[in-house]
Amino acid sequence: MLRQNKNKILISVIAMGCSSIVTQIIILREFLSVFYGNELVIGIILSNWMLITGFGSYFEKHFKFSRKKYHIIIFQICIAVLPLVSVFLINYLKNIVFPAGSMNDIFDVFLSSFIILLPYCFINGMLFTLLCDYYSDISKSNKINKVYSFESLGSIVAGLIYNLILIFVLESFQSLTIICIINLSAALFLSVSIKKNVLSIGLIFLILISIVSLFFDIDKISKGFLFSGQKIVYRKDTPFGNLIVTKLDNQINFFENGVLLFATDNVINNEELVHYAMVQHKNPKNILLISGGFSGVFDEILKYKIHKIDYLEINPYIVDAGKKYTNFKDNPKINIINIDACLFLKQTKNLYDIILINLPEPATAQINRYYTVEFFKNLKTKLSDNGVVITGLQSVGNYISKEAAKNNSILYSSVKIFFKNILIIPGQKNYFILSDNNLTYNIPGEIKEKKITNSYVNEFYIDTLLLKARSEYILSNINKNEKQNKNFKPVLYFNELRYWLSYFKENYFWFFLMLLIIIILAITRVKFITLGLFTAGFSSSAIEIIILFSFQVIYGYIYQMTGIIISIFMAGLFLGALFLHKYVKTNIKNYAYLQFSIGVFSAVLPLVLLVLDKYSYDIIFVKTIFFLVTLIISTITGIIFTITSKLQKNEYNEIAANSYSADLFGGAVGALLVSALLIPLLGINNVCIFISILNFLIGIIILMKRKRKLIY
Amino acid sequence: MAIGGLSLGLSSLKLLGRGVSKKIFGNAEKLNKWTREAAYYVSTPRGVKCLLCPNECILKENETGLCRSRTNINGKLYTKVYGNPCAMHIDPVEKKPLFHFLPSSKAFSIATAGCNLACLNCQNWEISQSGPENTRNYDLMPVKVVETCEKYNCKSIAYTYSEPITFYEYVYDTAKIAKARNIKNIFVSAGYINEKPLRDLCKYIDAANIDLKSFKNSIYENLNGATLQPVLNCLKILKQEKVWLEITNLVIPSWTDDMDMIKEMCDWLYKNGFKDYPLHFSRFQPMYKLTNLPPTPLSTLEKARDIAINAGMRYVYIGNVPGASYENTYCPKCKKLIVERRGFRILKNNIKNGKCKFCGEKIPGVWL
Repeated sequence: MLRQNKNKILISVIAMGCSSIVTQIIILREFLSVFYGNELVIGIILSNWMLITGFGSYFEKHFKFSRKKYHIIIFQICIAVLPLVSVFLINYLKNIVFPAGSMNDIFDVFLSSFIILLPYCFINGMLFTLLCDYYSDISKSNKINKVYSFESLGSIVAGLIYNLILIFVLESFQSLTIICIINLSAALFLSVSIKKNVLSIGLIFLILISIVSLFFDIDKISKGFLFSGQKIVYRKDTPFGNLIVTKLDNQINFFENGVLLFATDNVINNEELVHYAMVQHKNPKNILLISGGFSGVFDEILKYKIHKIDYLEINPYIVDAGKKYTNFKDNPKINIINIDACLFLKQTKNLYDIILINLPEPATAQINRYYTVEFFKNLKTKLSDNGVVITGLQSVGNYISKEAAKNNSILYSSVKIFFKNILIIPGQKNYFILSDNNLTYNIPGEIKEKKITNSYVNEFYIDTLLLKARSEYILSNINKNEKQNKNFKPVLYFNELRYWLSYFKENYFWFFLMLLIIIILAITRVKFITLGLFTAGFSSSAIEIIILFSFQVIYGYIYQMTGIIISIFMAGLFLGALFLHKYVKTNIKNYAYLQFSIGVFSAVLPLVLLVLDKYSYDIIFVKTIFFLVTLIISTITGIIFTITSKLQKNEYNEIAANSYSADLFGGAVGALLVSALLIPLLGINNVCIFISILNFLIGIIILMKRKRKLIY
Repeated sequence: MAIGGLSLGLSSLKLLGRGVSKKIFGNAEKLNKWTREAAYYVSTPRGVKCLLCPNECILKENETGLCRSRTNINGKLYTKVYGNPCAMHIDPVEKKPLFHFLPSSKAFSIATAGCNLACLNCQNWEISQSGPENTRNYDLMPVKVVETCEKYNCKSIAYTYSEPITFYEYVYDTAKIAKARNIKNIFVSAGYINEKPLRDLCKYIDAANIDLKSFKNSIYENLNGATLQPVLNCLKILKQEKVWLEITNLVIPSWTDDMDMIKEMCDWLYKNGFKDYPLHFSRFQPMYKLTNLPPTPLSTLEKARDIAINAGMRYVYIGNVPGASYENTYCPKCKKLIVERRGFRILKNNIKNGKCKFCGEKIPGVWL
């Protein structure tokens, strides 16, 4: 009977784990499609998530729940239903609370994600502590680590199933509904076992409603609010982001994660990109186009007598939708390849006369990879002798600000080592035209000579002298010795972030104040024994971000791998917390040694990354090492969690609350600090060293305190 | 000859920009070379009240107005941007846009930091939503502006990019000198200005392009941080003062693309005697904070144009859509093509002495 009871609780724990991971992935994605999706925004949302969950688990002990099992059921129902409500509200409220189609500043992001996440995350945190408490109660011993590890187990299973299967076949609301049904069923098991008949019938009813709702397209309704005024003709949650195609009058618009990729009929963009580069070459034959082909760029390229266009488009769903909804005509010269451009450039043996880079701003770490020294170095080797490259940054318009000048300077310094000639042509973007061959401003003249008929790039719209004057104005503001943008030190991305923040002209003092408060709160509120766990939480979330970041730099793309790496991370927590701690004696000395082991791990990590970068062509090797590295750090974290919880002598709920919240608070600080500030500012290697020193310090403090017998 | 002069001038323009901008980066001191006492304000018990624009900011000591360029210093109101532009370029006059004003000529264009509006989609937000302390500025006093304009053989000076109302005193003095030297003055503005300062300025202004951003007060409030009525008054005053006027309306999806509203706007323009003034419908591109919207579909702009023509507007153009025939001028009487424009060039001009060559209909504007 007791065993059965225990198993039912474990089902609840696993269901909660399933809910946490899938809800986190989907909510994050939904937030990204309503807010601007850079790493700072992701960091804020993730740290809010961990912060609130931490608070929930911490404050559970103050509520003194007497009917624990009953409350477990109620909370489980809440975490079943709340994700659906939250996701709906994110889409529904965006254009009601904020001006339609507008971008939000980070204060809006912080506040709205806090409010939306509050109910779910707080209850989720409380439920964790309550489950630890109850499970330990009925087991009559401290079983917090078991709950922790089974929650991780739920996350691993659901994370893998979601990322490998559900994402391809189901819409967001359907996936959340399935998670909802799982949690309602877990609640039903418990409810039946304590003979709450009315509640059980209610739950059965709820489950039935959920099953029926699977057949309704709630995503369509909720996205309809976000794109009001436009007709949604295509919608797909792809592994690369949420893709939406809308129709507005006769125009087709492609959005990925809420960001406009392109709209049809945008003649100026298409002509500028293609002709500014292609007129610079006498006889362009082999063309490489990186992204953004379906806006009409192909038609422009085909105005020249070329042999072939290799078109790189990482997201195959864009190709599908592009073929279906734009006036794209199949042409034997166009060869579409679904691959990441960094990866392609490493592998291909082709040489190109023209490389057209039609990517968004390097406003995210992900896109920054296409603007680094390493990228251009690689790209140069695939360029024929007189080849021409075009890339671009945001247009500076009539005035070049300090931030914009710095962005342009960074890109300039990053490309000048590879190309003898650089032209900056202002247009809808600030186009950088790169070649070893001579380059000319007389673009209208060349167009005329080549007898190409354009709507915009021609002598009627472009005055060579005025173009030259504007170009020289930009050049005169460029610092040619600015820092270079590198894969492992993405200064351009960081500066883009500052540029973006300058949109809002706010004082970010409050932001750093908030961070400081969290850290002080964590260090003072968190008991000394949990300080190590706080550091471990910080380090593991920081290292997880470093791993994800490096993986995308070294390997190429990341989307699906994110889910897999997170699942492996969970598996490490599970292993460490449930099994491996048995091999480490529960005492303070070992506790300190574990901190040292994170220190050593962080110190060695840069070397590992260096080796991986060198052998990046061996995909199996790279993946194996990345998975292994992830498993090691998460296993150590899992062991530390268990040892921390076993080292404490207290009420179970007290221990669970302290441990889980310390872990999460550490994670919250890590997520925000590392992704938004430390990596761009210090670079990957220095962040690793920073984490290493921090862990050694904490380890030493623990040892010293042990000698003074200050513990317990 | 003109082109030679232009290219010669451009090189020194660059020099000026480079040399000066380093020297005078940010002018933080309270009173300096670029502060001038403002022309329109009164002292009130609550501080000085600026009377330049309908915002009518009341500013306590050291407070700066919504435009970011006017400050109360020692109980007096000062403009901080006199002779201190942050942007200067040579543009085709068609870019302003002005289609019936010295076609194909070049306008020497200047702007200072600051704006009395706060549009979510501002194209020049880096200067309009900044104060002069935060921008890199040139030192270019009014006489120098006129001299530079002459040096580049520009026919006109355009006060543009950000909002010339906020650098009113600078515009006024420059325009006065320019007018005396037979250089035209172009005022490119959102028209959010009080009557008295506008009427005073009209003495020296030859042409204006006013951005009528929508025809609904609530949209003005939410999108631009302004109100509609003062802009309509501005249009009427410019017409009364006989300043050549062209009107721009930016059609933004889900904000200002309501055809009923556009119809209402065109009816108002017609009723108030603006039928002979060109109306430009302009295509929106995602910009500044309004990035989650698509550009305006061409078909939407075409609908707007049809509505305007049906409402009786005689010269309706579509901007930011190159290559089509939306930039041409047709004679409202004989319907023949009288000015064939492509971009910033005139391919055919069938206007003789301000009249249609074919039927003699007077075509309003300032022709060469």
